[in-house]
Amino acid sequence: MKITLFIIALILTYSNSGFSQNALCLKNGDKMSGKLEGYKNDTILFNFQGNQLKFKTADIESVIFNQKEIVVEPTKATIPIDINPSQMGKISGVITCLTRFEFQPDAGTNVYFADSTNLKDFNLATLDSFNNFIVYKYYKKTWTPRPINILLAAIYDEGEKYNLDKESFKLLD
Amino acid sequence: MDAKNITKTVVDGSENYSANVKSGIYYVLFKSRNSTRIDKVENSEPFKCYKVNINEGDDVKMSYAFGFEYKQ
Repeated sequence: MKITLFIIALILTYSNSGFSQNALCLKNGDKMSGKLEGYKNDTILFNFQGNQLKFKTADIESVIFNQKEIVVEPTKATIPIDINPSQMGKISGVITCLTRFEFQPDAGTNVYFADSTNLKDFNLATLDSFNNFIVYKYYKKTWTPRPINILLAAIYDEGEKYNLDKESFKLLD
Repeated sequence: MDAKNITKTVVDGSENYSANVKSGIYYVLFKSRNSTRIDKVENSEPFKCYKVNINEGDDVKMSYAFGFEYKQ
């Protein structure tokens, strides 16, 4: 009898751990392993590495409930859990992307945090110069006259949101 | 960058991201997926990097809008 109870307990333990992991596949190709926490107002709540993320159903390809089927890109690193939470800081924000006429959530953008003490040779200025070159090249080729009043209005509104320098935008008109 | 020393998170469908990190000076890199962009010709994964100091108990807000870059 004890053995039977032990086996049942063992099976329940393993089945619970099996169902505790879900995978979320987004239409942009990203896959995340975590826990599906709920669904509200056409939005799925998904716990990924301790952070509760919200995804609109329109951005989701599928949700996999069976852990055995989960094939997820290995996480680059884990958020340190061996530190007292009071000794940690929080960083958060909003990432959007300008389409032709409006700003949309840039869902799936990867945000990396690298401790500068481990990157002695890293030169931010060089990276910025490289980035500016690509962006300049891109806009030089693709920036064409559009309904400029709508675009500038969107930029102006967004500038208010991010406290950006609006004077430089006025020069574009 | 050495992957061992990097923490990664992903922007959700409501345009938000957040992470808890131990105090220190960090390079924060946003690498866009441009999932909603219509005119992706080249530079389909633009990026932006910042250096930020995060102290104990800080709640740092750092936002970015891809598409503003032409002002630089």
